[in-house]
Amino acid sequence: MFAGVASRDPSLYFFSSRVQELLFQLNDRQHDLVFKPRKLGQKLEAPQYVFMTDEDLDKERRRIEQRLREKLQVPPVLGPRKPIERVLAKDPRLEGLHDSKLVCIDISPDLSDRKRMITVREPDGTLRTANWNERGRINQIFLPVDGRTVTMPKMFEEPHLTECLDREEYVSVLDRACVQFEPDDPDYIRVTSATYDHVDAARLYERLQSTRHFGALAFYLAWHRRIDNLLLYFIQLEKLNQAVKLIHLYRLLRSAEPVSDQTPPTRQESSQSDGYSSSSDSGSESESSDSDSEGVQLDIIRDYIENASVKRPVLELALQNFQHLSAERRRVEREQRRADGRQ
Amino acid sequence: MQSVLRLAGTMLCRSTARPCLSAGAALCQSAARPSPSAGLRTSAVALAGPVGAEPPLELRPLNKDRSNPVPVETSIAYLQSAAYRATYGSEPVWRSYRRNHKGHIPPRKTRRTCIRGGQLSTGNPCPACRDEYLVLDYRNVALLRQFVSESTGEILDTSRTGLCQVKHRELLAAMTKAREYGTLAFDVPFRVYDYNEYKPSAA
Repeated sequence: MFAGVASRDPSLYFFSSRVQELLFQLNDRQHDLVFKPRKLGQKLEAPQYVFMTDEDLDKERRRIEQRLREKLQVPPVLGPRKPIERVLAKDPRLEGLHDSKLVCIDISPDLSDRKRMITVREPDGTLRTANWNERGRINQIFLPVDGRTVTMPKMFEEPHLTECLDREEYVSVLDRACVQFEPDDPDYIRVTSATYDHVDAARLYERLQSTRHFGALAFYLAWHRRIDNLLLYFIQLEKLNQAVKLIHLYRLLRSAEPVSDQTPPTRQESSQSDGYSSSSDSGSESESSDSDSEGVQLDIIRDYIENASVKRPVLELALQNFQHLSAERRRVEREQRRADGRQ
Repeated sequence: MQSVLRLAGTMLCRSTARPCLSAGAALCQSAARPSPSAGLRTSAVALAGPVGAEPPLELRPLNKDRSNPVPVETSIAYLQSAAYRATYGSEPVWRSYRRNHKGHIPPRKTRRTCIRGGQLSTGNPCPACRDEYLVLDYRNVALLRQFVSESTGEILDTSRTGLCQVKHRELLAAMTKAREYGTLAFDVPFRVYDYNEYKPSAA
């Protein structure tokens, strides 16, 4: 949960471009899965075959990259919202005029739903702004969003939520939560936290891979300092790039200063993380591209395992297995090349 | 038994006196039989199976009484049973049903209901009414899925399923409840966020 008076606000870290880029890179980005069509009752069209020049093809590839970014936009991670009610006026002389509340909403189409004016006149004459619950319902009645219901579906209440998660319908639950709730709604935070916990416990990370929710899952785990299972998953799949990026994300979110776009990546960042001193070498190299050598990547991972991991023996074993496997592979390749050379 | 079998042999699609597979025996563990291509036309020979196998599924006379609704748990178990597999195979329950009507264009709407006064009151009842163990309930996901289009996710119209209007409305109610309780997973539109609305105000 992101709740708590003294706890930090995740939105101060989430919107930084470096965190966003890490969340994007952590995703598998398999085009088939990202662009999987949604069944929304629309009429299906036959595929089009088009002849293209090289320039057209490049243009199309850039367009696809752009659409990929849009499809993988991570739902914003915010702390729970604060109450927004305030009394505007008190008119005791209006008491008894109506026996129910009256709600006023400004339905101008160019306003943001979060900033729209919604006020309530109580039967006792008090005029106040609407609370978040009322705002959600009234917005949905007058300016409906497709896929959202006025009242919260029972699917998000217990025991139905647990039953859905036990059936491993993670993407379905998360997609619907994104449509139904605002990101700072305590119910949204509750539902998404329960889903990420379930995914983490079952180790079914591949269900969320190539969806927008994988970034949110990685942020959640890194924020709550529980990246060990996901790290193990990456190591076992031999995705050292992703493992290193996850550790960088963990370090960014642990730093005392909220990450801002203005400050360039520096060595100070890694040393600021409380209780986690990493070598300055790996700190500065951490921001470089995917082409880090395997040795450097292994150093970064080993550093994390020794200093900050909870499941140290399991991770060390997995890393050892990986090293044995890659050494074996290199030996086999060498022998193959030697044999080919002889022929 | 013989007279019931003969009836099944002579009257094909238009028969109302169709022998049904006993659900009581259906829930016993028989070996999986290959489904007959015509769906509902079953013969005792096909049902008998190899010698020495489990006791065969029994044919029983058609039951027109619908005054005692079957509990949904029984229906869920029925959809996993050998009797269901032998009757419908792997196809949806409405696939083998054909409406009876004058001319080659069917009326736009199916009949209002097949059940009156707690009894089947029509010849050729619709797929949901003819088998009392098919209960349209939000928990009976295996059955509900058969009425959803594979490619577009829409609920199929009565022109394809052949359900009577009352059963179709029950289906719609069950689908609404299934979406409410989350028993049936379905797609929602993709939500695009404007990050500027959610960014913390510059410190």
